[in-house]
Amino acid sequence: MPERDFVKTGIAGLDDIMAGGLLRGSVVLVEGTAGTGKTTLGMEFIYRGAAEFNEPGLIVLFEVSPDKLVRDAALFGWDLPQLERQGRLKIVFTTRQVFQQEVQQADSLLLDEAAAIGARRIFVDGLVRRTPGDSDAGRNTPEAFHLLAEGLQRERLTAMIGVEVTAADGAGLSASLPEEFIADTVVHLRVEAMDRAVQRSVEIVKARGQDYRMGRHSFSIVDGKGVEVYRRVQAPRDLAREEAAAYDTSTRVTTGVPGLDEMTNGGYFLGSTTLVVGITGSGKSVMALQYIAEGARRGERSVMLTLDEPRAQVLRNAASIGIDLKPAIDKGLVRLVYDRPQEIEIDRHFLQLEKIVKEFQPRRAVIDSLSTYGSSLGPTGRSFRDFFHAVVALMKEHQVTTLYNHENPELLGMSSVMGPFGVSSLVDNVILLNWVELADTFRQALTIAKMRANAFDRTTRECEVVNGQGMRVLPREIPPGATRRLAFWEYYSLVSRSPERHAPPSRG
Amino acid sequence: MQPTDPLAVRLVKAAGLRNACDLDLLLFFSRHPRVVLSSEQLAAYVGYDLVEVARALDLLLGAGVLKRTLNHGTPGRMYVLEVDHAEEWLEPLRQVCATPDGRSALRALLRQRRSPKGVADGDPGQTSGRRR
Repeated sequence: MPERDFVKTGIAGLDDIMAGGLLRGSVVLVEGTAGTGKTTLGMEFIYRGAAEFNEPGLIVLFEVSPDKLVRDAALFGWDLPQLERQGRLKIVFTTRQVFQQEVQQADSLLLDEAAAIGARRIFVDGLVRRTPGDSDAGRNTPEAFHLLAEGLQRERLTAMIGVEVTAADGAGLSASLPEEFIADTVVHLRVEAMDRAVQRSVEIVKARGQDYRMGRHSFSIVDGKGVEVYRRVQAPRDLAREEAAAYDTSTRVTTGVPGLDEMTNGGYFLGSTTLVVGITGSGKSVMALQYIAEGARRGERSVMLTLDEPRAQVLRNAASIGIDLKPAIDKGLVRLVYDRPQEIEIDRHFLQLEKIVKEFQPRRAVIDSLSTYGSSLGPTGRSFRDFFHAVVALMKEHQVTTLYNHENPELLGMSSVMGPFGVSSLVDNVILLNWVELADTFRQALTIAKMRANAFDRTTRECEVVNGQGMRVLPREIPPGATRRLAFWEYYSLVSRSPERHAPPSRG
Repeated sequence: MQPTDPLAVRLVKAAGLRNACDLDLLLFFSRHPRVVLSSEQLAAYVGYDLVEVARALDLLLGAGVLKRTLNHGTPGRMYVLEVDHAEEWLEPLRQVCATPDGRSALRALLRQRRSPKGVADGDPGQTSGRRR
């Protein structure tokens, strides 16, 4: 099979979803309503080509004046005038009407301009879709577009053509117009409403002769950087990720909670997935902090991703149970990552997590908490489930032993592990943290509900969180004379909300 | 800024401007340094009639500020501004004209400098040459 010549766009994340870039000589239609980012995308395509890939480029504008384009480019750190002075870029302003007539000429001025600097790329900003019955001469016709494509092909230019669609068209952006049949690649840009927030998305709907990742991927336009495309969480990654289901059953990762390692026969399996479920205040975050601190003690790298509490609050909470994470952070053993749960952009968020896991290579990770993702993404839709699948696969591929905290709304006992979040089948281990009401006291209970491939202690055990010391699982038997209370084993049905005391042993 | 401001006088002289159309056409090309347009479109963009624009184009072309491709049978011709923006007078000129006050001062100065015959080579802002 002949090797294909790919043109890297240089736009962060875009080449990844294009499976390497654009085929050289492609005509790419970038369609979207006003404000969706067509000009920025096209401008970056040309800038990266000229500045980073030694591919001079031509920009053709109809509406935006070149000095405004230059000004806007400067916000991203792109010095277009310098490229012009170096003969690697030309910006031409014209009208659609002239442009149409120009490109039909054998000796087109515009294509001559491109040839004069050895251009390999061209961006035409602002063609307008001609809809049936539309007689506006300023709009391009399919025939004119065909001639344009021919002209560009003759010059072996890789072309990006921004196409304005009206808001009414943009709502669907699905009715194929003749131009889309002529173009090699069609890209749709959208700004989609999500409740009261909005999210930008890019979708490759056609890419002749090359592979690409289907679906809507989100993207941002970032000051000082440009366009950043975040591959859709659901989009398949490489084979290693897809097949990374196994974990190492010969290596244990200690829990950091005194008493819990005995219940689990030495800790969690390396690379396993553990769900810690309980109502707020039941000790999930404490358990997570101890897990991280235990890693630091052992010289293992850990990452804690929190949506619930900012970094300073996590550090303060840790200090309250006698854990000073600062030295471990300074040594590069611990990373605390906080992302605001409001308006979370899940593709971007996942990319960030993926980068941390690949670069930092933690052995331990904590996600605090799944329920907050659920509130942001909606527990019953596919987004949450797909995100969780993707995170589990990522962690398994990199053999990161991960705790996922999940808040269960039930105050006493637990009738379901995850309620509407139907993902508990994905996890290897489930630990339940409960309050149980005995006499006039709420006592803290820990139950291991599931541990794949592990013979574990199935009893519900009492645990306690002590200021300055953290959480520990108490022995099953209360040492004689320690307190006047009864041990948990002396009750039935602790987790099912109606604890009942065993009949006292008969005397005599 | 007043029309008598030394900076205004220096800029008008350095750019070789004679009337308001010259100024507005130059400013248009400073914002659009490489264009492909028909004469009618160019006139529409700057807001003067064709005759006035043709005269201003001749001035700028003659001064070497602007370059134009030959007419090759299509309505559009390419115009390229030959003065780099770093040229000592263009950027200050743009800055002065970036405010209505500054542009008015330069236009007033150009009016004052016209010949005693008045509108013969004068300011189309005061004549039928100005279309809007």
